[in-house]
Amino acid sequence: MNIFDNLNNAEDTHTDEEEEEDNNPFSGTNHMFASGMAAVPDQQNPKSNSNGKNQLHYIYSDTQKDTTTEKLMSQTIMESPPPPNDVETSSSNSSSSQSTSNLSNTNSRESHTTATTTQSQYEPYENLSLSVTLAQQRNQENIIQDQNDWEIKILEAENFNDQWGKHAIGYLIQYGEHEVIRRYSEFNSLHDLLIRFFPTVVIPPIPSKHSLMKYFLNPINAQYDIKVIEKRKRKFASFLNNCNNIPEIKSHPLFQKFLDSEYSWKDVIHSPPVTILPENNLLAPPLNQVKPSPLHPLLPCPNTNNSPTNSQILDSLKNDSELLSVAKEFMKLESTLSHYLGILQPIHTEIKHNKFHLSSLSGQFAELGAFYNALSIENIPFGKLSSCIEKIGRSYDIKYVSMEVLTEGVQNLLEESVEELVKLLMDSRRVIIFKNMKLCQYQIVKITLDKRSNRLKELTEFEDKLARLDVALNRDSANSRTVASVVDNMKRNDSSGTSSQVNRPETAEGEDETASNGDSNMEQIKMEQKYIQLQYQLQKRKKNINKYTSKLDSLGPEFLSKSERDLESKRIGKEIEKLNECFKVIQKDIKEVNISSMASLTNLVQYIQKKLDFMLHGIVKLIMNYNLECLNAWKEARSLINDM
Amino acid sequence: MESNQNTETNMNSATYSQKQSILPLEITVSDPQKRTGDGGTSTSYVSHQISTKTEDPTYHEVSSTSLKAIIVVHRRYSDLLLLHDVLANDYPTCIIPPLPDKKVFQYIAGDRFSQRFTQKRSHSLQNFLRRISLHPVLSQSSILKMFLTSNDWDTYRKSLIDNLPSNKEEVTDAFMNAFKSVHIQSDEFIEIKERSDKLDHTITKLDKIFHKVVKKNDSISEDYVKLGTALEELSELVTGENNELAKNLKTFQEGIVQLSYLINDLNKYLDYDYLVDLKDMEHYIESMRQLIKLKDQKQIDYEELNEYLTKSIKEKDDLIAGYGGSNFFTNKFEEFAGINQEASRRDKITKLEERITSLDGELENAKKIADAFEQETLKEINQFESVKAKELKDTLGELADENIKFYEKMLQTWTKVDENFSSQ
Repeated sequence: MNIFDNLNNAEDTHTDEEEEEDNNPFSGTNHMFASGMAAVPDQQNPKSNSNGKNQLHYIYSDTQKDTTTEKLMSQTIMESPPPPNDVETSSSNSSSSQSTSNLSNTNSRESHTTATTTQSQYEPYENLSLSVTLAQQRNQENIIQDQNDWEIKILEAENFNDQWGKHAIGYLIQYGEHEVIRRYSEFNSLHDLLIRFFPTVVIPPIPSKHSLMKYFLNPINAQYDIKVIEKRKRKFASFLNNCNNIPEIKSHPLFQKFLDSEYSWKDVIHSPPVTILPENNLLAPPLNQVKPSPLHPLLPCPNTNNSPTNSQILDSLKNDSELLSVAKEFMKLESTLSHYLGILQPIHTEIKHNKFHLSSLSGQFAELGAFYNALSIENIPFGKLSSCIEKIGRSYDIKYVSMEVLTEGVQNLLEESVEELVKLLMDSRRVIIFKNMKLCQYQIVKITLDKRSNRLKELTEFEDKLARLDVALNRDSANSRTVASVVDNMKRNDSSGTSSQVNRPETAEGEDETASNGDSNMEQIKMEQKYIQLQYQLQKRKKNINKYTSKLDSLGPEFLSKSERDLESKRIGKEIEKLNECFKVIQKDIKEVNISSMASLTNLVQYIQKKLDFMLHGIVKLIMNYNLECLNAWKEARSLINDM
Repeated sequence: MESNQNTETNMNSATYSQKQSILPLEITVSDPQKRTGDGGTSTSYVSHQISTKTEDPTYHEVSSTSLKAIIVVHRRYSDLLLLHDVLANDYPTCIIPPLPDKKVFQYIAGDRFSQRFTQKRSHSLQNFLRRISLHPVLSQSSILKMFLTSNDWDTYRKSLIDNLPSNKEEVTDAFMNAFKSVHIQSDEFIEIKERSDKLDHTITKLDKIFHKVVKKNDSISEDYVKLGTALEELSELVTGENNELAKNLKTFQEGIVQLSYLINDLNKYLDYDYLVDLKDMEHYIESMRQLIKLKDQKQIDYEELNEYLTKSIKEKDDLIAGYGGSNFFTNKFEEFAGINQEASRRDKITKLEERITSLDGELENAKKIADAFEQETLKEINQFESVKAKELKDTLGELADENIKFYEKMLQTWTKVDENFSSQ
């Protein structure tokens, strides 16, 4: 079964599934494999037409592996931030990933790994089919994907001693022609790393750790419990295949190395790109955590603990219709997902109970079978009655066996799948929170930028006004001595630099009185109002924008001297430039995050629905088989009784 | 000894009636109804409807109905208890089918009018009457006919109930001999005992497991009701977005709900009927064991008598042999005492001879009784075996039927679900 199928491939995969079904050696039988419930080896898969190519490809990529990592390292170094003071960086950076992707596209034949890495960035775009050119890229990728479309299998779980002599259980993974042994802790670390690498992607879950209770009850054997290991094998296989169906992950070097026995996992996690992962995933490009632009570290980092609520988001975005509609879409999706979780979680508990009940019931059937057999032996002197009772016993035996199969099916098909869905839904919250935090970041930058530009505008307007006032005063001073003396006074004040704060309001008042011009009076009032508003806003936002504000901010332009104003506007001008760059970065981030998260979440919804449908079909088949077997057994018993 | 006489006559009548051809009785007990006591009594009771279908013309004499008609009467538990006691008194050599427990606990809990309790009891009472009707002797008893047909049963009962002889004596008798066991047990009875022990063991085990199964089924059915609700919610959530899945979920949910109903149905059968049958079988086995004990009692009587006789004969022989001077000191003593040894010895011997003859007679009688009782018991055990076989066959058939019904309906339900799935 293909999991996490690309939406666009839905039709293709459908036919694939059908073909798989035809090839299923168990189809038509009552065997569990018939319903495709267990992993069916599909070596006869039609896709293996491209077997030769694949081999070539693999040999090729093997030889390329080492160079690939080197390349990747050099690439990251090359792309690591240029001098941060360079004003031009932002514009170049905004296109930098574009250019690198173009570059690597052209290089894709040489280095397939990097090519797909960068391509995969655009995967979410394709899902929403935003651009035609990207759709073309998709086709290209599909070819690659088809070539790589192996099913990953966990062949065995076996004891082995790792290089440090520690005893552990390893899971033998088969991927194409590769076989590699990985331990639980390695799976666990891969899972954790994937979460860090892909903040916008819902990561498939891995089986949870042994419960402490199990250790407590059975300290020696808990680890080697066959049932737990079997369960883990299934879940790991499902995890790897799910990852393999997410193009971003599939093509990521980390995942590739995990499947490659040439890499020791310990080395992988102690070398780039793992080691260069940023501390805070908000301060790096969301789709490529290990290639931060120089501006990303400059972004504000809101506290992850208080992710904004939906109403806060809606409120803050009310002026941005485009983002608002996206946010609304997200909220709809989010509520759908939380509804799913709200329903699936109780279903999971219910199924767990049910499984428990079914298995104890089947145990009772086994006992019944045994006691009817005993009864039949006791009744041997009564001839036919004995064989009738024996048949009843057999019916219960069959009931028991079929019930076991059914229980196993319920466990594999329902319990584990629903558990997976629940875990996926839980993980989807992480993606949503990241998206919200990113949005928060965007808001902070935007507000700061707005405020800065307002301030600048304010300053320039004030400068304009002053100029106008100057003109008026100069004009009037020709007629009035008083005005002339005031002008003189002002000039003196300005030249003496900063006057005492106490005097300022007086000066302003003096201006007010002297400037009998109604127009400027009005403006003064407006200014006053604005000032109050600004103060108010500032108080509200002060916490967030502390980093970007100076003490001067708190003062209205009228309280500043000419030189201060000049200094301020220059500073603000620079800040605005930086902020604009940041804004561009964050705008791009937001766009990427939105598209990628949306794609991942939509995929999740689709996946849930697909999985549910699959589960329903599978379980109905199981129930039917169970019914048929039992019915036949009982009918046989009945006919024998009738013959008596 | 008196009761022995009594049994003998009854045994004769039993053998006599067995020779007649027996017309089958089909008895159904159903429809338990709560009734408030009439005739001044304020207590409530449960009345069971007993329907009899038979071609025996004597059954139809009372109400002069046609042979095809079904005779319907209403009786309560205490009526059946009376019938049981009368039969037990009249036919001590028969295995009287047991009645269900009085269920004192249910009385205290005030649960005795619950549907589950009355239904189960109805079924058990039916088992009781059917077993009687299958018995060649009991089925011909006039009190059964009275019970099954008469409208005057109530008055009949009232006059009977006060004059019923108590069987206290027998109880103490049985108790006194409880620790004695039969010296020589025939292989046949050893085998019978072993078999009944095994059967009892197995049936008790089955009973226990089925109790568990019923409980489990209950919780599984509950699971499915809950699952059904959750699935319905899921289906509603998906509606509009993925209508196909919504429809599938809905179809599946209907299947699950249906499944829960079907499990309930099957469970009801298991609980109300099959478990009652098993329990009744356990009781029946117990009754059979009681009869074997009674038989052993008779044999013990005989054996003790026999022992006494042997002793007496030995004494007499000794006396006769004492002539040869084996009892030297006694003889000497009597000689000195001036007793006429010869005369007193003769006297003793005559006394002993008298006793021996009387004992001989009694022994013969006891032997006859014990043998006859054993024969009767064997016959009863055969009867028991045949009833057991028939019941096993019937109940297993029913069990199979119910299971077939269950699985057929399940298959039907899920085939429909599957069809609805694939039709899209």
